[in-house]
Amino acid sequence: MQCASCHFENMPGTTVCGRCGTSTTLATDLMDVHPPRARPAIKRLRRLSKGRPVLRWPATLHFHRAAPAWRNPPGMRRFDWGVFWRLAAPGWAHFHTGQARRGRLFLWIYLALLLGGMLSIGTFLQPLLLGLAFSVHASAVIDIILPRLGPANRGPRIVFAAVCSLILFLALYLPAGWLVTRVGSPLRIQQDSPPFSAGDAVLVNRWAFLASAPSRGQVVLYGLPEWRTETGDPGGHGRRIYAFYGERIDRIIALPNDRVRIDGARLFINDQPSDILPLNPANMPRQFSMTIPPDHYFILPSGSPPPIADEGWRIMASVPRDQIHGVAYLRTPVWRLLIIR
Amino acid sequence: MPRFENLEFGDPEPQRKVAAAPQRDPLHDEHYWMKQADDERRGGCYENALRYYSRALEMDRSIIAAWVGQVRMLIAMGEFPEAEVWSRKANDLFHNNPELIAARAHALVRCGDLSKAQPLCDAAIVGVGKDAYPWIVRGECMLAGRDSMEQHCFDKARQLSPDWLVRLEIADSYVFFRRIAKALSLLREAVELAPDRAHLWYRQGICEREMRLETAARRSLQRCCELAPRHLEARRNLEQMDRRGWWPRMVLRRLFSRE
Repeated sequence: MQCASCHFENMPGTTVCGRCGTSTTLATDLMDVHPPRARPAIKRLRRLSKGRPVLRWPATLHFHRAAPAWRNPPGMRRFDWGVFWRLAAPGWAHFHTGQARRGRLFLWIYLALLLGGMLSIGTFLQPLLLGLAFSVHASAVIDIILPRLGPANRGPRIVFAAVCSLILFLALYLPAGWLVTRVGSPLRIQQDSPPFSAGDAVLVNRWAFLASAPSRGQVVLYGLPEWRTETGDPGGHGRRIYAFYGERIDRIIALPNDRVRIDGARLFINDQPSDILPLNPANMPRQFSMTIPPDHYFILPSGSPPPIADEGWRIMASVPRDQIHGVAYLRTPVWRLLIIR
Repeated sequence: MPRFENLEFGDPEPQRKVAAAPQRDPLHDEHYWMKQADDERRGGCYENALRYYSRALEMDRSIIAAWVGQVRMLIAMGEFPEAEVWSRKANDLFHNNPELIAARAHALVRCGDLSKAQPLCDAAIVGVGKDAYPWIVRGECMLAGRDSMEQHCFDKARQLSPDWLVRLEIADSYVFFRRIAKALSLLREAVELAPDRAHLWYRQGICEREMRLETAARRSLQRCCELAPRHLEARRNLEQMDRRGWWPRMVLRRLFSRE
């Protein structure tokens, strides 16, 4: 009596193969020979997911200790860097490991939150949405790494997840955040001064003048040269002290060594009429003239209330080069969006 | 009356349930159904092939090729969890059969459980004779594990069997893991070996369509329709190719197509 599985010749009358244990009476045993089938609805669902299979341990991100010898010679340990560096973008590592559906989910949620955060700069929603985007990214990283830890208690898993988030923050978001705040540092406007209103945020590129000098017409963030003045009887009743200082946003009107003259509402630079005006031309002095000192730029602080004396204009409008911090280029939030030129 | 009929000696041996022997038609025995199943499988009618494998098993449950065939048909139809369940049952019935072990590994790979599939695949390779299937499964395991050595396993399978069906199955593995270009080259080989098979032309056309080789795909699908005028899928694909609108996606595809 030959076994159907291993073709071992058994003694007559035996019911189980002596070599492999397969039943020798299978040919006539009563059993269901029709395989289970997937229902059409289930098939449709599977077709919808349309992804490659989820490759679990040890396909990815591991030291190939458990892999068979033909894959790795003994003693050789290999780390899957392909997955590791793809953790930089949420969902990318999932795509790499074949979890396309999950990867797509992580990626789109992240992009939606990031876009929302970018569009709501200057509002209370911005930190909320950006924080959520970060947590989605951290979840994506944890989702890739944690299953590969194997069975572990809840405590170590929580600690590991926290460590993953911290590493992600330190390795990616801290440098990226620093970079972004250099080229797109948001600055909240505290009081109305056209074209800005209280509550607006202005994006400032603080690296704009690393390689080039400021030019005429640029709207810049600068430190106002400090100027104080007093009115009324010094030491007596009705004495008032005016102090002008802090950071302002306004347009560069003239460059070092230029001659500036304001006559009524008209502005002349080197005796040529200029169409470059400060952001709020209504606050310009009526009559004014000066020559800009070397390494200084002429920026009229038109957003603030006008100074009382002519001397104040001279001091405050000639801004040293090192006090110009960056170029202001965008007014947010999205419903008050304005490209500043 | 036997003398010892009513004596009790502990638990009697459980009575095995024996299937009632079906009405055996000498012309339609298990070999006939196996041949039918094989023909249907070569024609790409996996549903029919599965049915015929079951008919063969109804006649004789010890035909391992039929069990393997059932699992492979389930895999071919994309019913991977069901294939895994069925292969487990077959493995319980027939211990250490390399083809059945390979079939189980195949189902597991398609389900995405590479960790379980790899040892099974190794076990299948150890016991393999001259069958190409365990080598195909091993190649697919390597493909799933993003190992670039899969080509060697597939080459081994091709060496063991010059049949075009082996090339088609390797192409299936490549298609499943979205390596369409490699699948297409194998399908072209298979078409050269069996140019009268409509199913091969259809599969080649689908791959060419995936690769945006529109003219070649149209030619392949038309050839398929000539060989099998009732091939609905080929007709549907041709109609889809004819319905070319001006949607942005289609325009982009046209701009960046290779033809």
